[in-house]
Amino acid sequence: MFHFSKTLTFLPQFLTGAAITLGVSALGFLVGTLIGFGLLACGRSRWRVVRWIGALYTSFIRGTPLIVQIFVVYYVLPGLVGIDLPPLLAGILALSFNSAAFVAEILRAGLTRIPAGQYEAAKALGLKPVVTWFKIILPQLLRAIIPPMVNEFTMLVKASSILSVIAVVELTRTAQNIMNVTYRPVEAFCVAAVLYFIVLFSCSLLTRHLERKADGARA
Amino acid sequence: MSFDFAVISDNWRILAQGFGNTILMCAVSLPLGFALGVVLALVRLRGGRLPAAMVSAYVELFRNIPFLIQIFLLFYALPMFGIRLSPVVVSIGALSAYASAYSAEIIRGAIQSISYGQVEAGYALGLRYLTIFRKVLVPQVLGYILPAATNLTITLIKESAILSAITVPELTYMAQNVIGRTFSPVEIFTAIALLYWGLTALVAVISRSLEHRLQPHLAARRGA
Repeated sequence: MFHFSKTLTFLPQFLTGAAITLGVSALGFLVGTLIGFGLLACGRSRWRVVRWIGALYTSFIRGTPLIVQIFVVYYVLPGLVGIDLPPLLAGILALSFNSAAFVAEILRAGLTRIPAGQYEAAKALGLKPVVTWFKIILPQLLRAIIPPMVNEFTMLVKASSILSVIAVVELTRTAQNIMNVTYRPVEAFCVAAVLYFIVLFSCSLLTRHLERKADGARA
Repeated sequence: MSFDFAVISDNWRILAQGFGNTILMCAVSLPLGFALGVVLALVRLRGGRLPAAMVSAYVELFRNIPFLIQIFLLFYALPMFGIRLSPVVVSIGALSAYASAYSAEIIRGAIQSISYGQVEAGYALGLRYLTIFRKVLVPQVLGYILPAATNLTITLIKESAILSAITVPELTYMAQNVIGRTFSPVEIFTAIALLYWGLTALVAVISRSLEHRLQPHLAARRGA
Protein backbone atom coordinates (compact mmCIF):
# COMPACT_ATOMS: atom_id res chain seq x y z
CA MET A 1 0.00 0.00 0.00
CA PHE A 2 2.79 2.42 0.88
CA HIS A 3 5.66 2.87 -1.56
CA PHE A 4 8.36 5.08 -0.21
CA SER A 5 11.10 4.24 -2.71
CA LYS A 6 10.11 6.87 -5.26
CA THR A 7 9.48 9.55 -2.66
CA LEU A 8 12.74 8.86 -0.85
CA THR A 9 14.80 9.56 -3.98
CA PHE A 10 13.78 13.18 -3.34
CA LEU A 11 15.33 13.18 0.12
CA PRO A 12 17.87 15.92 -0.77
CA GLN A 13 14.97 18.20 -1.78
CA PHE A 14 13.19 17.42 1.46
CA LEU A 15 16.32 18.33 3.42
CA THR A 16 16.68 21.59 1.49
CA GLY A 17 13.04 22.33 2.33
CA ALA A 18 13.73 21.62 6.00
CA ALA A 19 16.74 23.95 5.88
CA ILE A 20 14.57 26.71 4.39
CA THR A 21 11.95 26.08 7.07
CA LEU A 22 14.61 26.54 9.74
CA GLY A 23 16.12 29.57 8.02
CA VAL A 24 12.80 31.33 7.53
CA SER A 25 11.81 30.61 11.14
CA ALA A 26 15.16 31.83 12.46
CA LEU A 27 14.94 35.09 10.50
CA GLY A 28 11.33 35.61 11.57
CA PHE A 29 12.32 34.91 15.16
CA LEU A 30 15.22 37.38 15.01
CA VAL A 31 13.23 40.22 13.49
CA GLY A 32 10.28 39.33 15.71
CA THR A 33 12.48 39.62 18.80
CA LEU A 34 13.61 43.09 17.72
CA ILE A 35 10.00 44.20 17.16
CA GLY A 36 9.14 42.48 20.44
CA PHE A 37 11.57 44.74 22.31
CA GLY A 38 9.87 47.67 20.58
CA LEU A 39 6.48 46.43 21.76
CA LEU A 40 7.86 46.05 25.27
CA ALA A 41 8.98 49.68 25.14
CA CYS A 42 5.48 50.61 23.91
CA GLY A 43 3.96 48.82 26.88
CA ARG A 44 6.16 50.76 29.31
CA SER A 45 5.67 54.08 27.57
CA ARG A 46 4.68 57.27 29.40
CA TRP A 47 1.92 58.02 26.88
CA ARG A 48 -1.32 56.15 27.10
CA VAL A 49 -1.86 56.17 23.30
CA VAL A 50 1.43 54.34 22.72
CA ARG A 51 0.62 51.76 25.41
CA TRP A 52 -2.81 51.34 23.86
CA ILE A 53 -1.42 50.79 20.36
CA GLY A 54 1.01 48.18 21.68
CA ALA A 55 -1.75 46.33 23.51
CA LEU A 56 -4.03 46.48 20.45
CA TYR A 57 -1.30 45.06 18.22
CA THR A 58 -0.59 42.21 20.61
CA SER A 59 -4.27 41.41 21.00
CA PHE A 60 -4.81 41.41 17.24
CA ILE A 61 -1.89 39.08 16.55
CA ARG A 62 -2.89 36.69 19.32
CA GLY A 63 -6.56 36.79 18.35
CA THR A 64 -6.37 36.10 14.61
CA PRO A 65 -5.13 33.02 12.70
CA LEU A 66 -1.59 33.16 11.33
CA ILE A 67 -2.88 32.14 7.91
CA VAL A 68 -5.01 35.32 7.82
CA GLN A 69 -2.01 37.38 8.94
CA ILE A 70 0.07 35.84 6.15
CA PHE A 71 -2.63 36.70 3.61
CA VAL A 72 -2.81 40.24 4.95
CA VAL A 73 0.95 40.73 4.62
CA TYR A 74 1.08 39.10 1.19
CA TYR A 75 -2.09 40.45 -0.43
CA VAL A 76 -3.10 43.54 1.53
CA LEU A 77 0.17 45.20 2.56
CA PRO A 78 1.42 45.66 -1.04
CA GLY A 79 -1.78 47.54 -1.87
CA LEU A 80 -1.32 49.82 1.13
CA VAL A 81 2.37 50.65 0.70
CA GLY A 82 2.65 50.10 -3.04
CA ILE A 83 5.48 47.54 -3.02
CA ASP A 84 5.03 43.99 -4.26
CA LEU A 85 6.55 41.56 -1.81
CA PRO A 86 8.01 38.27 -3.04
CA PRO A 87 6.53 35.29 -1.12
CA LEU A 88 9.71 34.58 0.82
CA LEU A 89 9.99 38.15 2.13
CA ALA A 90 6.25 38.36 2.87
CA GLY A 91 6.50 35.06 4.72
CA ILE A 92 9.43 36.17 6.87
CA LEU A 93 7.65 39.47 7.61
CA ALA A 94 4.44 37.70 8.60
CA LEU A 95 6.33 35.36 10.94
CA SER A 96 8.18 38.36 12.41
CA PHE A 97 4.98 40.34 13.04
CA ASN A 98 3.44 37.24 14.58
CA SER A 99 6.28 36.24 16.88
CA ALA A 100 6.84 39.85 17.99
CA ALA A 101 3.58 39.80 19.94
CA PHE A 102 4.47 36.55 21.69
CA VAL A 103 8.07 37.59 22.34
CA ALA A 104 6.86 40.87 23.87
CA GLU A 105 4.70 38.87 26.29
CA ILE A 106 7.68 36.67 27.20
CA LEU A 107 9.83 39.74 27.83
CA ARG A 108 7.10 41.39 29.92
CA ALA A 109 6.68 38.25 32.01
CA GLY A 110 10.46 37.97 32.39
CA LEU A 111 10.73 41.55 33.64
CA THR A 112 8.13 41.00 36.35
CA ARG A 113 10.50 38.43 37.88
CA ILE A 114 13.18 41.05 38.49
CA PRO A 115 12.53 42.61 41.91
CA ALA A 116 12.07 46.37 42.14
CA GLY A 117 14.88 46.47 44.72
CA GLN A 118 17.40 46.02 41.93
CA TYR A 119 16.34 49.21 40.15
CA GLU A 120 16.40 51.01 43.48
CA ALA A 121 19.83 49.64 44.36
CA ALA A 122 21.19 50.70 40.96
CA LYS A 123 19.74 54.16 41.46
CA ALA A 124 21.19 54.36 44.96
CA LEU A 125 24.61 53.50 43.51
CA GLY A 126 24.22 56.40 41.11
CA LEU A 127 24.07 54.26 37.94
CA LYS A 128 22.59 55.83 34.85
CA PRO A 129 19.41 54.19 33.47
CA VAL A 130 21.32 52.95 30.38
CA VAL A 131 23.95 51.28 32.55
CA THR A 132 21.26 49.83 34.82
CA TRP A 133 19.52 48.32 31.83
CA PHE A 134 22.50 46.88 30.00
CA LYS A 135 24.60 45.77 32.97
CA ILE A 136 21.98 44.67 35.49
CA ILE A 137 18.50 44.10 34.12
CA LEU A 138 19.20 42.74 30.64
CA PRO A 139 21.64 39.96 31.65
CA GLN A 140 19.14 38.62 34.19
CA LEU A 141 16.22 39.04 31.79
CA LEU A 142 18.02 37.15 29.02
CA ARG A 143 18.79 34.26 31.32
CA ALA A 144 15.18 34.08 32.52
CA ILE A 145 13.66 34.12 29.05
CA ILE A 146 15.80 31.44 27.38
CA PRO A 147 13.37 28.51 27.95
CA PRO A 148 10.23 30.35 26.77
CA MET A 149 12.14 31.82 23.84
CA VAL A 150 13.26 28.37 22.68
CA ASN A 151 9.64 27.33 23.01
CA GLU A 152 8.52 30.32 20.93
CA PHE A 153 11.04 29.38 18.24
CA THR A 154 9.60 25.85 18.24
CA MET A 155 6.10 27.26 17.75
CA LEU A 156 7.40 29.40 14.90
CA VAL A 157 8.99 26.42 13.11
CA LYS A 158 5.68 24.60 13.43
CA ALA A 159 3.72 27.62 12.24
CA SER A 160 6.05 28.23 9.28
CA SER A 161 4.43 25.28 7.49
CA ILE A 162 1.49 27.61 6.77
CA LEU A 163 3.79 29.71 4.57
CA SER A 164 3.28 27.01 1.95
CA VAL A 165 -0.07 28.65 1.11
CA ILE A 166 1.73 31.66 -0.40
CA ALA A 167 4.21 29.39 -2.22
CA VAL A 168 7.24 29.76 0.03
CA VAL A 169 9.10 26.59 -0.88
CA GLU A 170 9.79 25.38 2.66
CA LEU A 171 9.33 21.82 3.86
CA THR A 172 5.53 21.58 3.47
CA ARG A 173 5.53 23.18 0.03
CA THR A 174 8.42 20.91 -0.99
CA ALA A 175 6.33 17.90 0.03
CA GLN A 176 3.43 19.22 -2.07
CA ASN A 177 5.71 19.74 -5.08
CA ILE A 178 7.16 16.24 -4.75
CA MET A 179 3.67 14.77 -4.40
CA ASN A 180 2.80 16.40 -7.73
CA VAL A 181 5.69 14.53 -9.34
CA THR A 182 5.33 11.14 -7.63
CA TYR A 183 1.52 11.07 -7.18
CA ARG A 184 2.24 9.69 -3.70
CA PRO A 185 0.81 12.33 -1.33
CA VAL A 186 0.73 10.24 1.85
CA GLU A 187 4.36 9.19 1.49
CA ALA A 188 5.49 12.75 0.75
CA PHE A 189 3.70 14.16 3.79
CA CYS A 190 4.94 11.28 5.94
CA VAL A 191 8.54 12.18 5.10
CA ALA A 192 7.79 15.84 5.87
CA ALA A 193 6.10 14.82 9.13
CA VAL A 194 9.15 12.80 10.20
CA LEU A 195 11.49 15.71 9.46
CA TYR A 196 9.25 18.17 11.31
CA PHE A 197 9.00 15.78 14.22
CA ILE A 198 12.78 15.41 14.49
CA VAL A 199 13.29 19.18 14.55
CA LEU A 200 10.33 20.06 16.78
CA PHE A 201 10.73 17.22 19.23
CA SER A 202 14.41 18.02 19.79
CA CYS A 203 13.46 21.66 20.34
CA SER A 204 10.81 20.72 22.90
CA LEU A 205 13.23 18.37 24.68
CA LEU A 206 15.68 21.27 24.82
CA THR A 207 12.98 23.54 26.26
CA ARG A 208 12.11 20.97 28.90
CA HIS A 209 15.78 20.52 29.80
CA LEU A 210 16.33 24.29 30.08
CA GLU A 211 13.20 24.70 32.20
CA ARG A 212 14.31 21.99 34.58
CA LYS A 213 17.76 23.54 34.80
CA ALA A 214 16.29 26.98 35.49
CA ASP A 215 14.03 25.53 38.18
CA GLY A 216 17.02 23.79 39.76
CA ALA A 217 19.03 27.00 39.80
CA ARG A 218 16.24 28.85 41.58
CA ALA A 219 15.67 26.20 44.21
CA MET B 1 -7.08 53.74 -1.75
CA SER B 2 -10.71 53.24 -0.96
CA PHE B 3 -12.31 50.72 1.30
CA ASP B 4 -15.40 49.31 -0.37
CA PHE B 5 -17.89 48.24 2.28
CA ALA B 6 -20.28 47.05 -0.42
CA VAL B 7 -18.06 44.03 -1.11
CA ILE B 8 -18.61 42.92 2.48
CA SER B 9 -22.32 43.67 2.61
CA ASP B 10 -22.90 41.95 -0.76
CA ASN B 11 -21.18 38.79 0.41
CA TRP B 12 -22.06 38.73 4.08
CA ARG B 13 -24.20 35.62 3.65
CA ILE B 14 -21.25 33.57 2.39
CA LEU B 15 -18.97 34.89 5.12
CA ALA B 16 -21.61 34.23 7.77
CA GLN B 17 -21.96 30.66 6.53
CA GLY B 18 -18.21 30.17 6.80
CA PHE B 19 -18.14 31.77 10.24
CA GLY B 20 -20.95 29.47 11.31
CA ASN B 21 -19.01 26.43 10.12
CA THR B 22 -15.88 27.61 11.95
CA ILE B 23 -17.84 28.01 15.18
CA LEU B 24 -19.70 24.73 14.70
CA MET B 25 -16.55 22.69 14.04
CA CYS B 26 -14.74 24.18 17.03
CA ALA B 27 -17.79 23.84 19.30
CA VAL B 28 -18.10 20.15 18.44
CA SER B 29 -14.41 19.22 18.49
CA LEU B 30 -13.58 21.01 21.72
CA PRO B 31 -15.72 18.86 24.06
CA LEU B 32 -14.85 15.74 22.03
CA GLY B 33 -11.15 16.47 22.23
CA PHE B 34 -11.36 17.38 25.87
CA ALA B 35 -13.20 14.20 26.82
CA LEU B 36 -10.62 12.14 24.94
CA GLY B 37 -7.92 14.20 26.66
CA VAL B 38 -9.28 13.26 30.10
CA VAL B 39 -9.14 9.58 29.18
CA LEU B 40 -5.63 9.95 27.74
CA ALA B 41 -4.40 11.78 30.83
CA LEU B 42 -5.82 9.12 33.14
CA VAL B 43 -4.26 6.34 31.06
CA ARG B 44 -0.94 8.14 31.09
CA LEU B 45 -1.03 8.58 34.86
CA ARG B 46 -2.64 5.32 35.94
CA GLY B 47 -2.66 2.95 32.97
CA GLY B 48 0.51 0.90 33.36
CA ARG B 49 3.75 1.33 31.48
CA LEU B 50 2.87 0.30 27.92
CA PRO B 51 -0.45 2.17 27.58
CA ALA B 52 1.18 5.23 29.18
CA ALA B 53 4.02 5.09 26.67
CA MET B 54 1.52 4.80 23.82
CA VAL B 55 -0.38 7.82 25.08
CA SER B 56 2.77 9.90 25.36
CA ALA B 57 3.76 8.89 21.82
CA TYR B 58 0.30 9.99 20.62
CA VAL B 59 0.59 13.30 22.46
CA GLU B 60 4.10 14.04 21.21
CA LEU B 61 3.20 13.14 17.62
CA PHE B 62 0.28 15.55 17.56
CA ARG B 63 2.19 18.30 19.34
CA ASN B 64 5.31 18.10 17.21
CA ILE B 65 3.89 17.82 13.72
CA PRO B 66 2.35 20.95 12.18
CA PHE B 67 -1.45 20.86 11.98
CA LEU B 68 -1.28 21.52 8.24
CA ILE B 69 0.73 18.31 7.73
CA GLN B 70 -1.69 16.40 9.95
CA ILE B 71 -4.68 17.44 7.89
CA PHE B 72 -2.91 16.78 4.58
CA LEU B 73 -2.09 13.27 5.79
CA LEU B 74 -5.69 12.71 6.85
CA PHE B 75 -7.06 14.25 3.67
CA TYR B 76 -4.97 12.03 1.38
CA ALA B 77 -4.72 8.90 3.54
CA LEU B 78 -8.42 8.30 4.27
CA PRO B 79 -9.36 7.74 0.60
CA MET B 80 -6.46 5.26 0.34
CA PHE B 81 -8.30 3.11 2.86
CA GLY B 82 -11.55 3.61 1.02
CA ILE B 83 -12.97 5.99 3.61
CA ARG B 84 -14.87 8.91 2.14
CA LEU B 85 -16.22 11.44 4.62
CA SER B 86 -17.50 14.97 4.22
CA PRO B 87 -14.83 17.66 4.71
CA VAL B 88 -16.58 18.98 7.82
CA VAL B 89 -16.52 15.54 9.47
CA VAL B 90 -12.84 15.06 8.61
CA SER B 91 -12.14 18.50 10.06
CA ILE B 92 -13.96 17.74 13.28
CA GLY B 93 -11.92 14.54 13.58
CA ALA B 94 -8.64 16.37 12.96
CA LEU B 95 -9.47 19.21 15.37
CA SER B 96 -10.64 16.76 18.06
CA ALA B 97 -7.47 14.68 17.81
CA TYR B 98 -5.38 17.84 17.97
CA ALA B 99 -7.32 19.15 20.97
CA SER B 100 -7.15 15.80 22.75
CA ALA B 101 -3.33 15.76 22.65
CA TYR B 102 -3.09 19.25 24.11
CA SER B 103 -5.82 18.80 26.71
CA ALA B 104 -4.26 15.50 27.85
CA GLU B 105 -1.15 17.48 28.76
CA ILE B 106 -3.18 20.23 30.44
CA ILE B 107 -5.12 17.73 32.56
CA ARG B 108 -2.03 15.71 33.43
CA GLY B 109 -0.23 18.87 34.56
CA ALA B 110 -3.26 19.91 36.59
CA ILE B 111 -3.54 16.56 38.36
CA GLN B 112 0.18 16.47 39.04
CA SER B 113 0.01 19.96 40.55
CA ILE B 114 -1.98 18.45 43.43
CA SER B 115 0.08 16.73 46.08
CA TYR B 116 -0.08 12.96 45.88
CA GLY B 117 -0.87 12.79 49.61
CA GLN B 118 -4.46 13.70 48.80
CA VAL B 119 -4.81 10.69 46.52
CA GLU B 120 -3.24 8.49 49.19
CA ALA B 121 -5.62 9.91 51.77
CA GLY B 122 -8.49 9.03 49.44
CA TYR B 123 -7.21 5.48 49.09
CA ALA B 124 -6.80 5.25 52.86
CA LEU B 125 -10.44 6.19 53.18
CA GLY B 126 -11.30 3.32 50.84
CA LEU B 127 -12.26 5.44 47.79
CA ARG B 128 -11.70 4.19 44.26
CA TYR B 129 -9.46 6.19 41.91
CA LEU B 130 -12.41 7.39 39.83
CA THR B 131 -14.16 8.66 42.94
CA ILE B 132 -10.99 10.41 44.08
CA PHE B 133 -10.67 11.85 40.58
CA ARG B 134 -14.25 13.14 40.58
CA LYS B 135 -14.59 14.34 44.17
CA VAL B 136 -11.07 15.38 45.17
CA LEU B 137 -9.04 16.21 42.07
CA VAL B 138 -11.57 17.75 39.67
CA PRO B 139 -12.82 20.51 41.99
CA GLN B 140 -9.26 21.60 42.70
CA VAL B 141 -7.87 21.41 39.18
CA LEU B 142 -10.63 23.50 37.59
CA GLY B 143 -8.84 26.70 38.49
CA TYR B 144 -5.70 25.38 36.83
CA ILE B 145 -7.49 23.99 33.79
CA LEU B 146 -9.74 26.89 32.90
CA PRO B 147 -7.08 29.39 31.73
CA ALA B 148 -5.26 26.62 29.83
CA ALA B 149 -8.52 25.43 28.26
CA THR B 150 -9.27 29.00 27.18
CA ASN B 151 -5.91 29.18 25.45
CA LEU B 152 -6.60 25.85 23.80
CA THR B 153 -10.02 27.03 22.60
CA ILE B 154 -8.49 30.16 21.08
CA THR B 155 -5.69 28.10 19.50
CA LEU B 156 -8.26 25.71 18.05
CA ILE B 157 -10.29 28.55 16.51
CA LYS B 158 -7.11 29.88 14.93
CA GLU B 159 -5.88 26.48 13.75
CA SER B 160 -9.26 25.80 12.15
CA ALA B 161 -8.43 28.50 9.59
CA ILE B 162 -5.75 26.16 8.20
CA LEU B 163 -8.53 23.78 7.16
CA SER B 164 -9.09 26.14 4.23
CA ALA B 165 -6.07 24.41 2.65
CA ILE B 166 -8.15 21.23 2.18
CA THR B 167 -11.20 23.16 0.94
CA VAL B 168 -13.27 22.92 4.11
CA PRO B 169 -16.00 25.59 3.85
CA GLU B 170 -14.95 27.51 6.96
CA LEU B 171 -14.45 31.25 7.26
CA THR B 172 -11.01 31.58 5.64
CA TYR B 173 -11.94 29.33 2.72
CA MET B 174 -15.18 31.23 2.11
CA ALA B 175 -13.22 34.48 2.23
CA GLN B 176 -10.80 33.19 -0.40
CA ASN B 177 -13.79 32.20 -2.53
CA VAL B 178 -15.28 35.67 -2.30
CA ILE B 179 -11.90 37.27 -3.07
CA GLY B 180 -11.55 34.98 -6.09
CA ARG B 181 -14.74 36.50 -7.47
CA THR B 182 -14.46 40.10 -6.33
CA PHE B 183 -10.67 40.73 -6.27
CA SER B 184 -10.99 42.66 -3.03
CA PRO B 185 -8.53 41.10 -0.57
CA VAL B 186 -8.28 44.23 1.57
CA GLU B 187 -11.96 44.41 2.49
CA ILE B 188 -12.57 40.69 2.89
CA PHE B 189 -9.40 39.87 4.83
CA THR B 190 -10.07 42.84 7.12
CA ALA B 191 -13.60 41.59 7.67
CA ILE B 192 -12.61 38.03 8.56
CA ALA B 193 -9.68 39.18 10.70
CA LEU B 194 -12.18 41.24 12.72
CA LEU B 195 -14.56 38.26 12.94
CA TYR B 196 -11.81 35.96 14.26
CA TRP B 197 -10.58 38.67 16.60
CA GLY B 198 -14.08 39.23 17.94
CA LEU B 199 -14.67 35.51 18.44
CA THR B 200 -11.42 34.90 20.32
CA ALA B 201 -11.97 38.03 22.42
CA LEU B 202 -15.46 36.79 23.28
CA VAL B 203 -14.04 33.42 24.37
CA ALA B 204 -11.53 35.22 26.58
CA VAL B 205 -14.23 37.39 28.18
CA ILE B 206 -16.55 34.42 28.83
CA SER B 207 -13.70 32.45 30.34
CA ARG B 208 -12.76 35.30 32.67
CA SER B 209 -16.31 35.62 33.97
CA LEU B 210 -16.50 31.83 34.39
CA GLU B 211 -13.27 31.90 36.33
CA HIS B 212 -14.75 34.48 38.69
CA ARG B 213 -17.89 32.45 39.14
CA LEU B 214 -16.04 29.17 39.78
CA GLN B 215 -13.63 30.64 42.25
CA PRO B 216 -15.13 33.67 43.92
CA HIS B 217 -12.52 33.53 46.66
CA LEU B 218 -9.67 33.86 44.17
CA ALA B 219 -11.45 36.56 42.21
CA ALA B 220 -11.94 38.60 45.35
CA ARG B 221 -8.27 38.30 46.25
CA ARG B 222 -7.18 39.29 42.78
CA GLY B 223 -9.57 42.22 42.78
CA ALA B 224 -8.19 43.55 46.07
